[in-house]
Amino acid sequence: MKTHSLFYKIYFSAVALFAVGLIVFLFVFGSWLKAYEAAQPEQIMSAFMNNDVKGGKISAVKDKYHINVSKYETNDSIDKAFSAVTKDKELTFASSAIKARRLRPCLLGEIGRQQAYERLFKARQQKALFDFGNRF
Amino acid sequence: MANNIYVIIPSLNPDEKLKNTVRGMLDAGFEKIIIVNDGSDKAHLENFPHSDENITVIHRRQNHGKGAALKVAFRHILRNCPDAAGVVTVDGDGQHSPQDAAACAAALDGIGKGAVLGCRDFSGEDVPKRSRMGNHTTSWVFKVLCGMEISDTQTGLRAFPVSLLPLLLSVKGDRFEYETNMLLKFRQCGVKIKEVPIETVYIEENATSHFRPIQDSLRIYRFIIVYFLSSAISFVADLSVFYLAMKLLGASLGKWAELTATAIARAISSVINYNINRTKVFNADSKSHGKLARYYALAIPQMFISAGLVTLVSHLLKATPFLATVIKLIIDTVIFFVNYRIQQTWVFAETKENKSAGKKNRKKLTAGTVVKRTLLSVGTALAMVLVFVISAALMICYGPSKSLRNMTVIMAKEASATKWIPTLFLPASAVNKIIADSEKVNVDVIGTDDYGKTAADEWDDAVDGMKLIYLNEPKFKGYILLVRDPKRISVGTSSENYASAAAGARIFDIAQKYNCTAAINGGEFADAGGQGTGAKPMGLTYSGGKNVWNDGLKRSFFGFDKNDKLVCREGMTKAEADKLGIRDAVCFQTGNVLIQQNGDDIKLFHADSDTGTAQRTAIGQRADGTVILLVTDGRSVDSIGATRNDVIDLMVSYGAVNAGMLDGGSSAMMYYRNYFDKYSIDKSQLDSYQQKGLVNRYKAFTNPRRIPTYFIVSEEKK
Repeated sequence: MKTHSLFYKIYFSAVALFAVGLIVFLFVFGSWLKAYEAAQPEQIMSAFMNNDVKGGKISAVKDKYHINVSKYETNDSIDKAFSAVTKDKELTFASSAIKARRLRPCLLGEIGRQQAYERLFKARQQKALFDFGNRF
Repeated sequence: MANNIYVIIPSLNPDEKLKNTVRGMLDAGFEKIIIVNDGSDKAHLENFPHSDENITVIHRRQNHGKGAALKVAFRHILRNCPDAAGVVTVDGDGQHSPQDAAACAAALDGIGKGAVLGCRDFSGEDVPKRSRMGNHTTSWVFKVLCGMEISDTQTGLRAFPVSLLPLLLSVKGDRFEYETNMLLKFRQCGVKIKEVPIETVYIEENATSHFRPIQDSLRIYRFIIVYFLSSAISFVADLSVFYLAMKLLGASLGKWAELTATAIARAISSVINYNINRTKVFNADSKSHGKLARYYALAIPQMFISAGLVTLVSHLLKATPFLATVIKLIIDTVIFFVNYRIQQTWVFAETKENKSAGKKNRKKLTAGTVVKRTLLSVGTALAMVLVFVISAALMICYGPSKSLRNMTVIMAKEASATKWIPTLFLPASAVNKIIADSEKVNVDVIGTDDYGKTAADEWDDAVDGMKLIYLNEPKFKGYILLVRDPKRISVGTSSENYASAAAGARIFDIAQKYNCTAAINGGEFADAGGQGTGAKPMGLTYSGGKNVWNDGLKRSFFGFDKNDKLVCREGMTKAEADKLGIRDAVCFQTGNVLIQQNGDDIKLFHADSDTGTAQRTAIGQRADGTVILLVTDGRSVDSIGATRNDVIDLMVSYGAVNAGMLDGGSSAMMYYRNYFDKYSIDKSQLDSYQQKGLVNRYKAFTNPRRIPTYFIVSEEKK
């Protein structure tokens, strides 16, 4: 084999290094994309709708998100009222326009074709996966 | 004593002690003695013995120094004495006893290609102070810099096997520094040194020595002086190139200026340092890629080690800037000395293997080989870039994030120059669906009550009746210019007659033409492939109360009416515009009305899903008439750009009740005359366009482009 010179040693080392680097990059980039997708408003909304609202126990949502109700409403009465309203109807949601700065996204819960509730969500945290720094 | 060990005595103006030394050597059993008369004057010639079968005297007419005399003797032995097995060098002033010379010669047995030094003990009281101090100092320097523990670096009593003589002939130096350089060469070439203790003899306080304290000390320490000078020259070169690079490239490179200038400066200064060290400090004979590679293999990690250690220690000690500088000085000094040792023993080491490997490689390097390897390297580098880009693109298109895929596709489709890219990786139907989805608009209706109230003191710090606001959003940098009086806003045109216009105008030309205080880019123009000349606008255009262009195209229309109210409407006709008393207006692509007031209701035309991110320009107006001009940076690593919904979000938060999107991308520009002076912004941090009045950071690799229309802000009337 003729490729024992220093040039080819460096050349093939560089190619091997690139291949390893590319694989590492694709793994890191893939996990970054997963995290990015999971943080999208649609995904957050969907999880809220499916896990919290459609579970039937709407009172749990009230407790979880610290929603104030009148002292005459109990968890039972809220669940019963919600079940009555949603019986045989489809629960959907739509993300809506900006209602106020930094209060996106907005969830419009719809029962059948009627808007049932509206909820504004405030960003809990912002995490920069790649911070390129500030110029100002 | 073996009769094939030659004694060499270099001598200059000897006295009678020379003959005694020669006699002593003969008595000790040495049979071959070579004396080199190093240019002695006539008065001292009688002290040289006559040549006979045991003694050879080589006369030199002029004095060339001890090192040169020794080389003459070495050369003589190699040429004329094939029986020689080794040599012993002895001073002719009686300082070296025949017994010590014999001991050194005996030590040659089994030493291979090593060297023997006859070392004196300098602790005795009879040792002259200057000799003691000189030897101690040199020993210390050798220990610290070279890692060589030699108790007597200046000894003249040395023994070498004859096989070492070719190497000794390659050592540089003709005077006393030759003996020092010889030791350095031993270190560089891995020659072993064996010490033999000898008697310390100083006759008459060493008065007969020809050692000149200043000149010869400088010669002996030349290697370290040159090493210091090499570093100093490189330091000056580094600073000078850094200054020049900052001066020449600083403005155009923006925030990367320091990094780029440092890299250029370090690249040039390192080449200077490498060459001086190779040729002047370590006297490495041959050029080789190996030395260069080893040099950078040392220099680059050393730079990071220095930076890392300084950062770490400064952090641990919570150092002030002054203390941090002291820490850097200490760390760099240590690295400086360690560096010398590594460069001597590794980077510039002249081992047999290095030499032969270098020669072997050089033989193979024909012009054809060089061309072939260059093409292979360049081709492979390009292929690597291509593979990397394609892998990343495929990951975006078919990976776990549909949001990023959609955003990237929309971004690419929005820019004329990159429109063709998405279909390389995705089917056209998928691309079309993404674009169609992004164009879906949801209309939200809010009331004027939803707006926050403007602070009463908002205009207290206004300049020129305007307020410049810097936005530092997570995804983009942006610039808002609030203009209190809408009467000051009009449309500036690049031509008085668009029908015959060949090209648009740059923003600086418009600023000059209208002598305006501020300006942003305006409406749409034909821009196929990003190569449009910006000669003619598209859609209905008004300037100064006149309809200056009407090509009949229906577009999103943004203009000020006779009451200075911003009208944002889709598909405005000339008749409708004239009826409203429109004075200044431009058009942009359909679907770019963002906010529209209808009585107490405010309609927000937000995108159903996220649109692409880009540089954006928009115009809006508050209910009180204040005009909002917005420009964002985009398509760069520190500001990927704003989406349509981001622009609506910003406009609402600044109180806009009417707003529309203007041309963006490479057209997005905001000009504000001398804003850096008005807002005390450090001008040196701005790029060349910003120093001319551009507020946003325009792409450095293109000129601000020529376009046909601008919204301009006239000077404040007081």
